[in-house]
Amino acid sequence: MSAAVSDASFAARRQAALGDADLRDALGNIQTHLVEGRRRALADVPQFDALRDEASRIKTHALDHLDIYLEQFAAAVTTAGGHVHWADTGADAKAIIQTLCESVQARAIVKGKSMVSEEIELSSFLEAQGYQVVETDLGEYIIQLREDRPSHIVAPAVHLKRGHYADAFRAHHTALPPDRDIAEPEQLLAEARAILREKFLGADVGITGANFLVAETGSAVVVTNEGNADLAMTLPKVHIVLATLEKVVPTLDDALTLVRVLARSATGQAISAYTTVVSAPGKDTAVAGPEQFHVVLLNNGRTDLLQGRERPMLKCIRCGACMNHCPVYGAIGGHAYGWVYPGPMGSVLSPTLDGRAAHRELPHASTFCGRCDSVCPVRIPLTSLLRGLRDEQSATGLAAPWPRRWLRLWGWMVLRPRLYRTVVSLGARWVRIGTSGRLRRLPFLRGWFDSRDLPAPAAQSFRSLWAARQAGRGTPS
Amino acid sequence: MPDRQPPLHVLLLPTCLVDTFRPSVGLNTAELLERAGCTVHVADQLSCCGQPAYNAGERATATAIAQTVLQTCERYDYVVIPSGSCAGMLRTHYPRLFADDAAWSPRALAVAAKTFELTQFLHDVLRVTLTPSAMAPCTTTYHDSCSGLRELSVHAQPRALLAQVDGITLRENAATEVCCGFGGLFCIKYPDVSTRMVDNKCDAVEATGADLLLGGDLGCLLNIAGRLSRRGATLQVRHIAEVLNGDLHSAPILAPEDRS
Amino acid sequence: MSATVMAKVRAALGPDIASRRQAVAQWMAAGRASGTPALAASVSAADAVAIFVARARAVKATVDVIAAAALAERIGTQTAQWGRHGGVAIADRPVLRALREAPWANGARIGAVTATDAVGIVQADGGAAETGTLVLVSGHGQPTAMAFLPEHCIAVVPASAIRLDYNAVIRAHCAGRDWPRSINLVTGPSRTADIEEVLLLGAHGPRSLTIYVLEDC
Repeated sequence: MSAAVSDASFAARRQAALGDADLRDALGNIQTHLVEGRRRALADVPQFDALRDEASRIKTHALDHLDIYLEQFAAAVTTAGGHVHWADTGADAKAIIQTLCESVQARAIVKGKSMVSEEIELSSFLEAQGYQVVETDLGEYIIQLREDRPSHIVAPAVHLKRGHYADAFRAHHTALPPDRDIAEPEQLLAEARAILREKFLGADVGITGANFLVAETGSAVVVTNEGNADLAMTLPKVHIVLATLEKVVPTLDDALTLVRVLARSATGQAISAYTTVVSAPGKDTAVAGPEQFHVVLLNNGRTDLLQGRERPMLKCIRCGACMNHCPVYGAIGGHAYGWVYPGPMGSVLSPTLDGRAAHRELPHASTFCGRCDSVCPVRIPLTSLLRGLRDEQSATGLAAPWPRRWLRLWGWMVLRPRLYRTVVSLGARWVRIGTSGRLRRLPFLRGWFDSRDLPAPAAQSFRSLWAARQAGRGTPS
Repeated sequence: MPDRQPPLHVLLLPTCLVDTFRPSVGLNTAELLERAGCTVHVADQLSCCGQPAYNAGERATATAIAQTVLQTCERYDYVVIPSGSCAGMLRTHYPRLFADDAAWSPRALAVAAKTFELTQFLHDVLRVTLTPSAMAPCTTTYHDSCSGLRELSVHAQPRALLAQVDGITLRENAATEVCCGFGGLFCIKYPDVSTRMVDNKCDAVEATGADLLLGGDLGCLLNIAGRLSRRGATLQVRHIAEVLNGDLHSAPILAPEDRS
Repeated sequence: MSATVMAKVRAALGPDIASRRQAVAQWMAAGRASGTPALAASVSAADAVAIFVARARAVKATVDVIAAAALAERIGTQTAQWGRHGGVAIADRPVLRALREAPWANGARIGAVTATDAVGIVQADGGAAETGTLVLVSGHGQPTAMAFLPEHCIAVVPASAIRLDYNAVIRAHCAGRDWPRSINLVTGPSRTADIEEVLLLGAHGPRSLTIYVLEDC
């Protein structure tokens, strides 16, 4: 997609979002529950900042030594009777997963929530190959039924209301009585529980993501509140973990430190209802569980970030705190960002993973208020990374040309102070003509004047007033 | 206020917005510093800290501007700026801009160490006791600019200084930690998003029932006052320097009585 | 494929593989169980049970500290309140053996669970006071599904197995043994807030979690 086309579509999505009253209510829920929740959770843990420092240190170390830890992880999985598959691209990962499903003559697949599976569009691929694929996280399930897309990485259906759920359930759960009452959330949950229970029980393969991969033990750490990932990884005979390279951390102790900052940052819970450390069956095959444990280690562009200035972005533990606290996300919601990851982390990941031209606007759609930096549990310098992407756009010629030209002209004038002052004072005088001290409109800066007034420039600049004042006192400037 | 021998030579960087739109902020800042015993200087050859270029990805332009700023700032004991955003540029970002430059890095760090936002300087460095003329009783609420808050940790200082002004009651608004939507060029590039953000800020500010909104950054204040004016609000908006210096003669920003 | 991916990782990190191996060896040897600092510093092990109980209750588990001898009767009262709309599954663990004799356990499934069971009774290998979390380690006679499939989960944990933080519990149980295929950290019943951020219990896992802490075990 050309940069100009992507700019235009960001503008359209953004404007649609701003006009959506339901979305505005839904985004308000994030403030009331997730932002307030985090604040309360942190009040209970006065040393939270020290935990964040430790979490950041662990992730930085893991990334700086990623090859060694990946080797260790793979060896530990294999020793315990599991299988590790390496995938460079999304297509590679999909092919591997398809082969695994074929090898057990699978028909039905249940999925736990996995953002990377959205990146590579795994479900639609498997469905096209003839498999029944069911998302089991309630928010992802409704998204699947509606053929919608997630708008938040932790609460994917945050943009939807109970009416959306009821409509989708009526349309898809056709075996149930059409006049049944599913107006209330409790009723919707009861129905989803029953329907999805059957899917868990009938599935041949369970595919989950992983919040962390532990090199020391060859384990995946999977975090949910519903318990859906546990059912998906326990009942079917094959468990496939799909995870990207940067999920690897050295030890289980390290993973537990990260667990301590994850839920508190995401929802304000001290820990989610279910935090599971799952590994290959090991020696004792009599212990109940899947017959096969597979981990698909996917690159999908991570090594590009590892190589470059954006390596710190790989520390991300997908808590969602940055977007919860971002005023821009809070105004436009997740779909406006145009890809899998929204908010500040999405504004770094979308250009770097999905194409800089396709997401040219995102690094600019920020005031650099820094609130994301201040809440990130692993201290990713998000505003610096965004500024770096702006720098890169200028250096590579991707930036829109005319703003650049105006800025360089402005900079050239700033370095010529007398010229700058002359131009500014002439401009100020011209703008003041016929005004009462308040400007409601100018032939430029329409973006400002559409919704705001501006004081007219002062009759005399501070500099000239100061010079006069100092002259009047006989003091030097 | 202890005598300072010799007096501190302070370079006042008024900021481009103050220079053009509201010189009273600069004059009040200068008077506050002089009353505290400083000798105030203004450098004619400086117009801007370079932040618009720096934030837009124009590093070469920003670097050239920063070098001229550093060369001037170096000559003074302190640099004081009535803006968290511009002070943050010098304190936080100039060192980053020159991090890999062996010649300029120490100069940037040295200037950063002696650059302060106004309330920071008055409270933390000079530890002033204010003697402004008492105000007619009024309720005020404060807007913390994001850069002041997050880059410079300016939060307690303006409140401590306002507590010294008789007649002022401070009522905190629910959105002190949320960006007002100015963001320099952001409000022009994404005016729809910016308007939503400033509306949220205006709602929070108006909900306090305060008569007066104060802040330390003219960019934010022009943005919020501009929207309040268009909304027909009666709330007054000023820069904190005006109140701390007891200057209530100049009209507030987009004064309500002018609104036609 | 592993060669391609690993080659890209190494290309990104640089050629000095030997230093990286050394740094990794140091990191692994150092050990950094962070714990929850405030908890560890100011709290004694004796308080761990009380803190565990309080925090588990805060996440909507029903928690009682009882003598082992009272377990069968307490569970009987509970199952009577719920009514028999499904079977009972009891894990095959020593601390739960006595339950098989109870009248309400007539017909209970031992060491296995099916989708029609309404109550699953499991033994937790430990508890972490820091968040009121149960630690269930996979093993014989207690399939993981037993703590997830039934609508009601009853977990029995010896008081002596409650520690301050997760790390201590896992170390106590797993050190010196083969690594288990799963460790479940369970904190309260299953829940979701996916519908308008309204908190609901019983999403896919159990709708209720009852914890009996055996004070004399």
